[in-house]
Order: sequence, then structure tokens, then C-alpha cells
Amino acid sequence: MAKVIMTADDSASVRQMVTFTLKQGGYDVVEAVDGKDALQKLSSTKVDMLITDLNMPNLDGIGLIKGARALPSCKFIPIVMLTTESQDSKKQEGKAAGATGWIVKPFKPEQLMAVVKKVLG
Amino acid sequence: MIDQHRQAFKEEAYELLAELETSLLELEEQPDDVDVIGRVFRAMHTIKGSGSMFGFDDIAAFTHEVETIFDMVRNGKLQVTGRLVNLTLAARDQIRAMLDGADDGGGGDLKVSGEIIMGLRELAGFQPAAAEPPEAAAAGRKPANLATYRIRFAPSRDIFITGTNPLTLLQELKELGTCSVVAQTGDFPCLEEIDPEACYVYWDLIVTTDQGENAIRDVFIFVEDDCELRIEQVAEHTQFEEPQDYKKLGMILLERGDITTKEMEEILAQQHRFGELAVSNGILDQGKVQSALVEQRHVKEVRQEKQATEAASSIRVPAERLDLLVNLVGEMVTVQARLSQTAAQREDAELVAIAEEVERLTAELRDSALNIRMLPIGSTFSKFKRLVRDLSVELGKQIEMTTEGGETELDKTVIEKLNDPLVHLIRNSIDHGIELPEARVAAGKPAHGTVHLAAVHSGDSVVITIDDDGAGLDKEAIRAKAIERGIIPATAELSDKELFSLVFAPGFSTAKKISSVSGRGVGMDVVKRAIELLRGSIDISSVQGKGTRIAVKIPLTLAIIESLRVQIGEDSFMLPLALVDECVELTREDVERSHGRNLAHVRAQLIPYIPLREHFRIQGTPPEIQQIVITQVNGTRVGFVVDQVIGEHQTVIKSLGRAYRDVDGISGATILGDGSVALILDVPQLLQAVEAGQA
Amino acid sequence: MDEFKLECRQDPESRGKQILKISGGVTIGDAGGFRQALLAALEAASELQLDLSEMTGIDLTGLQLLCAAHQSAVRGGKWLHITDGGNLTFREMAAGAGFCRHTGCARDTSYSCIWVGGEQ
Repeated sequence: MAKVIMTADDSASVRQMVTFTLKQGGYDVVEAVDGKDALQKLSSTKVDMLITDLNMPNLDGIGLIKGARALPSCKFIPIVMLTTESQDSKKQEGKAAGATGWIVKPFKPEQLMAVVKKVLG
Repeated sequence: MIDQHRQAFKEEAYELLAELETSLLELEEQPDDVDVIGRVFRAMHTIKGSGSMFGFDDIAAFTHEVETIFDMVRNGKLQVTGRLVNLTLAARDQIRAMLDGADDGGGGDLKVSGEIIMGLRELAGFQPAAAEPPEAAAAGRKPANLATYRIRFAPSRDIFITGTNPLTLLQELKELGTCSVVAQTGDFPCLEEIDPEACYVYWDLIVTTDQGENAIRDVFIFVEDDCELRIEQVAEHTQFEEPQDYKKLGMILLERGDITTKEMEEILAQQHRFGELAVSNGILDQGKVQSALVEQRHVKEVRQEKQATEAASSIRVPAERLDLLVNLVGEMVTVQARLSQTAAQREDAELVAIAEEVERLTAELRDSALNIRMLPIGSTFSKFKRLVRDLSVELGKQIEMTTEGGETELDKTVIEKLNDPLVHLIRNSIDHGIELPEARVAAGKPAHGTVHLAAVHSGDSVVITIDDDGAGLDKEAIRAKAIERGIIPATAELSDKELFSLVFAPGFSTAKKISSVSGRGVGMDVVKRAIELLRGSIDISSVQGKGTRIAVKIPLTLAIIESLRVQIGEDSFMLPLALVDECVELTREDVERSHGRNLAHVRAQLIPYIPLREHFRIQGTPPEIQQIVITQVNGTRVGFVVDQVIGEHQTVIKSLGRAYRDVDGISGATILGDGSVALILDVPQLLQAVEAGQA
Repeated sequence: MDEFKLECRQDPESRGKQILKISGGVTIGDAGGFRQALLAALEAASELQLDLSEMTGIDLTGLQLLCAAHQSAVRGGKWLHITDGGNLTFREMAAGAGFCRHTGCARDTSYSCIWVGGEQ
């Protein structure tokens, strides 16, 4: 059974690229348009990994990470955040909230796959 | 594919820009609305982030500037003013223009971008460094040497709640190279006390990789801030690494900080096996000793493996195995010839195509198999240097030997068989060629003579020349000696070339006395025969007083030769192509006209020919028109009369076996495509035999 | 990965010997329950056999618990041992995590370390 990865991003183009890359890599993908949407879907869908943008309306990435970690089903799953190079402090904040790792934007599909492999095995 | 993503981004960006416009106008009305400020920032942020993802770098760089300003607004460091809104609106229009022009390379006016950025920076009252381009991803990591690293990786207790599985990191590490893993379990609490969701284990890892330390650090990039991670290089496996013993156990433990110098000395003082003692004395946990032992073993194994691979880059193989390979390739060539012939006969296009493919592959296989046996002749040359030195001392001559083309490659067997003839030729040059120092000075030459040995490729042969700047051949002395020995009649008129070639006649020796160097009954005729056995030829030229040049021409290999296939009656014969000059017709009238003298007119030149049909006593009548294959041996053109010339042929040489070894005029045999046998003619010997028969 | 399942039974042939069969994949989510089951089984027996023949995966927390359980057994003067029925998945996972070793740790006073021997 394929592993399920959620991508939470308010940018449709980034979601599209992430989804496309992950599906190519043999994963199933659940898309969420912002933190709130993501958290809602997480409570009803079991996912093996979460990839989230940090800047999103309604509920931002940090909030989503904290919310996800509070869910029993997401307590130990890898959570990777998408950051831009200027957000080193955000990186720390994200880690403190329970993020497993990060991917710096812009990234290439190969880099995304490398990180997925690193945290998901 | 990427175009699809780019299109998606553009659509999204247009939407965002429309939203941005609305938000900015709203912001003008309510400059303090945090929600609106957040929306503007996010729109900019998304355009920047996604833009750079899909290759809109100029848009990303430009938007980055605007985003930076709004980050300040968001953090309360900058007030929203009418001018800021104006500039941002201008920036929005500029991004739109850049998007519109993105596909045809236009991409907006750089000047406008510059002005907007300047205005924004001015407003912010700071002078940020020029927008940095996004970091070049993994800028050309330098290739590192193969090295072994010792890693201690102790994750934090709560590593699991950040979603990290240390085992996947170990897995990633293993992909970098050879990896030994020892888990340290000594700190585990018992079941009653353990927190099942905490991490107690830590690892000692030994990795041998050529990716460098940074690649190892990259594995741990997400966890390095909150775990204990020590990476040390413990060995570098360079080309020049000494295969010495690896560090002692105590040393490893000391380096790791698992043991102090004092403790180590105490243990050493007890003269026992270090590891056992360290554990029994309670200084060390067994796991730590174990991992040090693993490190020792790991490095040892890596070194062994490396040596094995290095050995593999040049391997020593017994010569017989190569001979076997070449023989098999020979068989293969034969079978291939049969296949081609059969395919042609069947007129089956598919089979012909396959046969052609096999032919091409076989040719490649043959060349590379023969190539394996090729050795540079240089090592033989250097042996001669010593010979020249010793001989010149013995003879009281001053001789220098120079060499050229030592890198020229020849079949190993050929090189071996060339050794004796070359020694003989060099001895001759030194003994008979180079004069004593006094004589040289008297002749106006430098006191020390030179013997120059050179090898050069010439088609499918190698020409080895031995030049000396000695006295040269004495034509009159040769002539006199030849007459005296009855080799030529006293009245014979000979060209220089013919005269010189007399030195190769059996029993000829021009030296006044037999020295220990040359002579001793073994004459140049033996040398000549040896060269001919290698299917080579020898040529001598000389200018009296100036020196002599001997040129030995040797085919590259002994196993397979290009030859000309001819037919007499039902039988096929092979003539080495290297010796063949041309083919001409011989009609019955021609034969009658020459009155049994076996001479043919070829372009106003009289060429003697040998009718092979008669020579080999083959039954039957020759055809109306026979063919003369004209060969050139030692400067003489001689024809061989055959029924028919079939064509060029890749000839795999098979020796004739003991019973036929001494058959004159035949040097070997080969198997033809149809499985029948063809004999390979020993042209020089045939000539000799015929000449001897006539004399 | 198959679902994690625990099954504890009394060995019919030997009094005081419990057999705890662990099947499916052991993950961190199951760690708490796994620990409880191990504690209970050790409590009830003088000899505990862990049957891992149908285990389809084990993460680090599971490996740690096996080690800790062994330690508790040694301390309580009990015998804990593993049968894996040649389960390659388990062996590979234990070896991959670097748990396999030549000799037991310092606290393995009964020389019954579960990681000693077997495949290296």
C-alpha cells in the first residue's frame, strides 16, 4: 500500500508541483489549501507524512505543525516545512513546534524526493 | 512537463496580483489593518517562492525586495503611507509586466524595476545589500578522496516526537559507502523505568566514503542541532596509502574520548588483551570496546577491498590464458567466416544481416584480444643498453646507444622471439660496424660511436631499425668473400642491394677474425631466418665510411594475418598480404613465348615466377589464363603462378604440427569458412628453395 | 505493514513459561502497549519466550524495549529469550540498527544477551 503524504500550501502551483513529484515517486497525495483545511483533513485521514508551507492564510504552518502534533495519529509522523532562505528564525520556530525538517524554496523535484526519502525511509 | 507548472504558476500569479491590487487599495483606506498587511505579504511571498521554483528568477528577485519591505510593515517597523502603497502598486504592475513578457524573454523594463526598488529602500530608510540571488544549489561539491570517518551519533531523548526515525538516517548513511553500525545500548533503563517513546540508544558508526564529510553532515542536517554528533576522519585511503596495521584498540578508544590516557596506561601495564581488561576493570562498557573493534575491522576490510580493486585495475594473467583466449578468438573468426559464407549462399537477408553483425563484433573482439597481448618494446630496448655498455668496454670502443619509439607495442610473443635476432644484430653493429676510437678520429668522426635503436609503426607492422655511424659495409670485401665462398659466380653483376643482402647468405661472415662478440658460426643467415619465421623481413643498407642501417619489419601479431587467398586446382593457399605487390594475368601464350624460362614481362620489367602447380606437383591442367601474384621479398620481385586469386582473407594461423613442421615452403595452415584447410605459403623460404634448386 | 498484534499464552509443556507472540509491525505508536504487555508477561512467568516469527517490522522503540525487557529479566533472575523462526525481516532490522553484537553488555550478567550470535 502506497504511503500517503499531505501537501499543505496556499499556492496552487506549488501544490501541483509537489503532488506531481510525489505521485511520480509512487506516493499517494492529499492536498490542503491552508493550515485550517490541512488540520481538518488530518483528523479524518491517516497520512504518513506532512509537507507544509509556513505562510498560509487562516492557519499558518507553525500553527498547523503544533495542531498536527497534538493529534494522536500525527504525533510521530515526519513533518517537513517549506521555507524561504530568509526565514532562518522560522526554521527554529518550526523545529520547536515539532517539525522534522525543512526544504528551502526554491527546490527541484529531486531535492523534494531526497528529503522525503530521508525522513520517510 | 515543466511548462505545465509554469503555466499554472502564471495563472496563479495573475490571480494573486488581482487580489494584491484589491488588498493594496483596502490598505490605503485602513493603513493599520493587520489582516490586510498579512494578505499583501503572503501574496508577495507566494509570488516570490513559487516564481523561483518555476524559473521566474527575475520576478522572484524583484518581489523579494517588496516582500522585505512588507515584512517590516508586518513587524511594525514601518508605517503604511500613501507613498508606500503607490510604490507597491507600481511594483504590482511591474510584476504583471514581467509575467506578460516572461515567455518571449521580454520581462518588463529593468529601469522601472530599479526605480521602484530604489524608492522602496529609500522609504524603508535602509540600504540593504543588493538582492542576493537564491543560493546556488549545492555548488559544485569537490570530489573528496576515499576516506573513513568515525561518527558518534547520539540523538536527543525526544527525537521521536519531531517525527524523526534515526534508522532512516542510518539507512541514508549506508548509501554513502561502506558502513559499520554499532548501537550502544549500555544506557538503557530496565523495562520498569523505560519511557517507550524516548530514544536511549546511540551509535558508533564507521563510514568509508568518497563523498566527503559534508555529505555525512547532510545526512544529519535536520537533527544536528539537537543531538550529539561527532564526525572525525580516521583514515584517508589515498593511492599511496601504506598497507600498515590500523590503530591499536587503546588508541581508538583514547581518540574517541571513551578512555583517558591514564586509564589506558594502567591497562597497558597489565600486559593483557586490552579490550578484555578494559571491560573487566570496569573502565569501559563492552559496547564501546565492541565498536572500537568494529572500527579496526572496518578499516582493515576497506583497505583489503581497495587493494583488491586496485589490483583489478591492472591484473597479471598467465600468458597461456591469453594464448588460449587468442586461440579461441581465432576459432571464432573461422566460424564467423563460415557463417558469412553460409549466409551468402542461402541468400537469406536476415541471416546475412546477422552474419554481418557477427563479423563486425568478431573483428572488434579479435582486435581487443590481440591488443591484450601487446607490450611496449621499450623494456627490451633497455636490456640492450646494458649489452652495448658491456660490449663496448670489452672491445675498447666508445659507444653510446640511443633509443626511440620504446612505447611502440608488439605482440608479447613477437617481442620474445625478436630478442635473440636483435641481440645478434646489435652485436654485429658494435663488432663490425663501429670502429675503434683512434680509427674514428682518423676518419674525422667523433671518438664515440652511436648505435641508434628505433621502433615505429608502419601499417600492420612495426619497423625496428638499428643504425650505426660506423665504417659501413665494404662492398668489395663482401663481393670477394661471396665469390670465395661460392655464393656468387665471379662474374656476377650485382646491385648494391643485392650485394648487401649477401651477408644474409648461409655461411657468410665478413669479420676478419671471430671475436667473442659476433661470429661463432652463427651468421646473419640465422638472424634472417628467425625474422622470416616471424613473417617479417630484414633489409640492410650502408654507406661506406658513414654507417649501416638494418631495418627489421615485423607484423604486429603472429596469430592472425591479412592474407591473399589463391586457388590451385582444388586447393587453397594463403600468401601474406604484406608481401604481395600486385597480381597480373598469365596466358598460355605468355608461357609459350617465354620458352620455359619462367619470366614474365610486367611493364617492361622481367619478373621471374614460380609455377606453384608444378612446384607442389598438383595434378590437373592449369586454366587458360593463370594469375601471377607478384611478391617483394628482400628487394626482389618474384611472381607465384596460381590458377585463381580469390581475395583478401583474415587468416588465423594454425601451426602444422610436429609431423609437417619441416615441410619447406609452408609456414602454417588455416581453416576456411567452409571448413576446409588452406596452407599458408612461406614465401621467403619458397624463393630460397627454388634458387637452391636452380643452383 | 501489517497490524501490530500481541498474543500471550502459557506454554502447555512447561509451567511458569510464558510465550508472547508479537506479530505485525512494531512502531512507536504501539510502544506503550508493547511495554505493558512485556511487563505483564514477565511478571507472570519465570521464563518468557518472545516469538517474533511473524513480526513484519520493528522500529527503534521496539528494539529498545526488547533490550530493556531482557535487562529486567536478568535483574529479576528470570530468563528471557527470543525465537524468530528464521525471520529475516527482524534479523535485518536488528542488524541494520547495529544491535547485533558478539558479547552482551556489562549488565548481561547471565550471558543471555538477545543480540549475541545469530547473523552478523
